[in-house]
Amino acid sequence: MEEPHRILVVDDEPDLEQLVLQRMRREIRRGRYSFVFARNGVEALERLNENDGGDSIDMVLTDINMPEMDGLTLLKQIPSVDPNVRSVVVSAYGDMKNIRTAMNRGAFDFVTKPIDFEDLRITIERTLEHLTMLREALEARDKLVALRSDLDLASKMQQSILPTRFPESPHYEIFGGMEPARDVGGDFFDVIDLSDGRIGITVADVSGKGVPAALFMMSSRTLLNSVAVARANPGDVLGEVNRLLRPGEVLSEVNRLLQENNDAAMFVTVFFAIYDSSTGELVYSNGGHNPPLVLHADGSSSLLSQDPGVALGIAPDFSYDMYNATLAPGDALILYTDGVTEAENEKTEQFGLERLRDILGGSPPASAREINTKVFEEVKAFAGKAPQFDDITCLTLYRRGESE
Amino acid sequence: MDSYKILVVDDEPDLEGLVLQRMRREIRSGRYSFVFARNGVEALERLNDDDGIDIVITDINMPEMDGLTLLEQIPAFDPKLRCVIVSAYGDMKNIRTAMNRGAFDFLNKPIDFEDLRLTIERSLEHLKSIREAFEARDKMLAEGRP
Repeated sequence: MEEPHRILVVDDEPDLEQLVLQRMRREIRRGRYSFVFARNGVEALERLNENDGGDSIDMVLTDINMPEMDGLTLLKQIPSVDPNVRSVVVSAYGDMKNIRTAMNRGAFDFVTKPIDFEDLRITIERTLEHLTMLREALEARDKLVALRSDLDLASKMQQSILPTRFPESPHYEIFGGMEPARDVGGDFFDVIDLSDGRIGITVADVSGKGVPAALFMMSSRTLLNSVAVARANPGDVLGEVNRLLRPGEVLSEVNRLLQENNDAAMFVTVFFAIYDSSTGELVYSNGGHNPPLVLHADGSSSLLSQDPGVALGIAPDFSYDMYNATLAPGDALILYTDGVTEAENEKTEQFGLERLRDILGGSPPASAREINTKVFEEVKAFAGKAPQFDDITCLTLYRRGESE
Repeated sequence: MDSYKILVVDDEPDLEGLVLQRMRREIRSGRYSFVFARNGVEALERLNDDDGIDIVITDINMPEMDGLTLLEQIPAFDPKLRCVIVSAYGDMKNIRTAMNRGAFDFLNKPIDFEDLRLTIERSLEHLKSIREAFEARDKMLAEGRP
């Protein structure tokens, strides 16, 4: 059962103590109230000062006329001792002047002498109800503030695993970014250096949002990296045999691994590719992700041909197909999540793939960073004041021209 | 500066002029604005039409719907709304009934405008702390955090 509410009764008449204990015996026995007594304002402040967190005083019921410190003075002192305590004054019947003074000094209510215990009961309940409501709101707020700071930290940790520095090469430039819709998100991207001038690139989007998506994202990313790296560098002996890393097999294996502990039935769409910077060759596989866009040196654009496959985490034995394409010098490959194409404006229109092609097309791509930055700026400008519902991720790979 | 809307409910038409006159400084500075109603039914209509009302100050004896009945109806509109009752001087029975029905405070007739001012300010302060606590909570909840 709940702890009893502690009520401090302040009166210089010793009779009141017995009367309260007698008339409130049912509430005391039931453990609803417990009473503490003081004979004047000074004693009352002492009791309030002894308050410790465990059994603190919730409300004060005080007489007005008392030696040493009267009730009206006490009323003024209470907020500085404990601003959460509420006070009710006991006045002589019809002593309007003192009642008004008490109310204006912040008394929550008053009762008159001789005390009508039915009125007192209602008054105490109303005071406690008010206190409970206020406390609950404050507690909920404090809890949420704490949760918020946890999420801020989680968000920082999550952001910290996304690449901020990208491999540098005379042959290509790569640049990416992610803008979470909430503190923590479900999108991620990665660039893995696989040696021999090859890089593994990933863009992925986990179903759902918030903490569950972020956790699933972390495990998906770890699996994807470890599988990709294990297959790319299986050791000196097997190195030659396995030189050609196969994106389809990586996705198939990660898919199998993801099923194992996926009680929450989450899934992740993944586009994974190996890019050979010396030839411009791209080997890729898609697990239900948006079709990447290629921006050609002449300003035109096309979508990478592919069968979109199935998101990972859904069909354990799905075998992911592999495709080939070649980036010509001056081409750019743009990987994105649906946070880009499905960004909404205030009229709930979607940004759309066509708009993405329009804003990027027309002129030859110049740099990965520039293209990527432009995507984020355009999406932001399009959305205006509309809220961001989904994480936005974009990763751009640019094959430098021959002359660069 | 924050500005607050106060609904004054009284069947005596004189009160409207008196309040506007005695509170002219607060009105001019934009701190208070007043809306008036002649009885509880009209007051509920005002509350229905206008969601910007912060405090209700109501007389007790009125035709159609009295102040004590109005007091019981108000939480349905906004449980955070503070309500001050105006009673005949020393009418302890009605004052106690009003307080037990959730009035934040009471005033005696004839209205002492200094007391009214203090009472309004105290109600607003109270309202503010309650609103702040709830707003902070609701805002966080609305952001949909788990």
